Amino acid sequence: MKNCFYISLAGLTVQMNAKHPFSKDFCKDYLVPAQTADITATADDNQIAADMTSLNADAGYAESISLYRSIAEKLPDFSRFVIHGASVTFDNKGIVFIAPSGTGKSTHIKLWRKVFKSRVDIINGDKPIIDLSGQTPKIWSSPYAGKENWQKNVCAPLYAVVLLRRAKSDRINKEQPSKYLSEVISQIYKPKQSGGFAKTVAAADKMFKTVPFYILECTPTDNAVKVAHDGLFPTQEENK
Amino acid sequence: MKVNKNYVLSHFNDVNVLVDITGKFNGVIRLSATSADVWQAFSDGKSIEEAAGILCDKYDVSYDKALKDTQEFYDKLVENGLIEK
Repeated sequence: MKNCFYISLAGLTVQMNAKHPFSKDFCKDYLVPAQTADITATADDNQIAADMTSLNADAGYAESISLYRSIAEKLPDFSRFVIHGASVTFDNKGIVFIAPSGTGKSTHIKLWRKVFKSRVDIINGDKPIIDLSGQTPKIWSSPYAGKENWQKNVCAPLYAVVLLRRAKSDRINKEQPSKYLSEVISQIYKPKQSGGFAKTVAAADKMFKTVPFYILECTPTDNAVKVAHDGLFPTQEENK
Repeated sequence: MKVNKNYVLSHFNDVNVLVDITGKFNGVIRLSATSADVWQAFSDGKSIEEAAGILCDKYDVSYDKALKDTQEFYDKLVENGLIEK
């Protein structure tokens, strides 16, 4: 295929069977030389046509989305899944803030960066990948990073999953994810291929065995970051 | 009967849930252990009577009670489009 290329994504090699040059440029931070691939991603022409209409996207962008769906379908075979969330590292510990679009995830991670400066690095603003293949859960970036395109090709140990909710005051609580199953599961990519979702659930279940889950009710202010930080890192208050 | 294949039974964080993998219904449906067993039986092609029998084998319940509960659960599934008659 004319525009076929290879990327390294979440520790896997992916062969991208693209037709449009846009897709390669979109993935430029992840390119690797041609090699044996773990996953082959192929865009679906019907999906491209549908996305061009529903998202008012051009063919190149629609193809790149379709390629990511193709990857997301196969990631559970490798104990990984795509999550809809904004992720940062704080002192190299990965945190993912999950919430429906429009809640304020991007605003919140921007404030982390503003408050804690170089101690915070943005991993991915929209669709990072959770990796349960090793002993320690990890979070990886991807080229798919939402409208702001905040992403850096990095990986971090996953320290916390935080469900973000808009509120009039700031509060964080450690919770059982089972109390918020609808909200959590709705932010996890659901593979359509047979058995894919069961593998995703198994991976997510494994994640919550070791990674704590929090509910953060917050305002779009610096105070929300301070409250979140103190809840997530209770022994580090002296570092404020 | 025909089980709606868009709904997948999952065990997440010690809870049994039915999830619509198409994402059209974004919530989850929580199932008790017995309801999950009945859903699994229906998914495996068992009839209402056979599903009730499975409950009797697994739990300390009379066949009549199991049949009544299974029928009620089946009716709810049909009503909500999770099973086609």
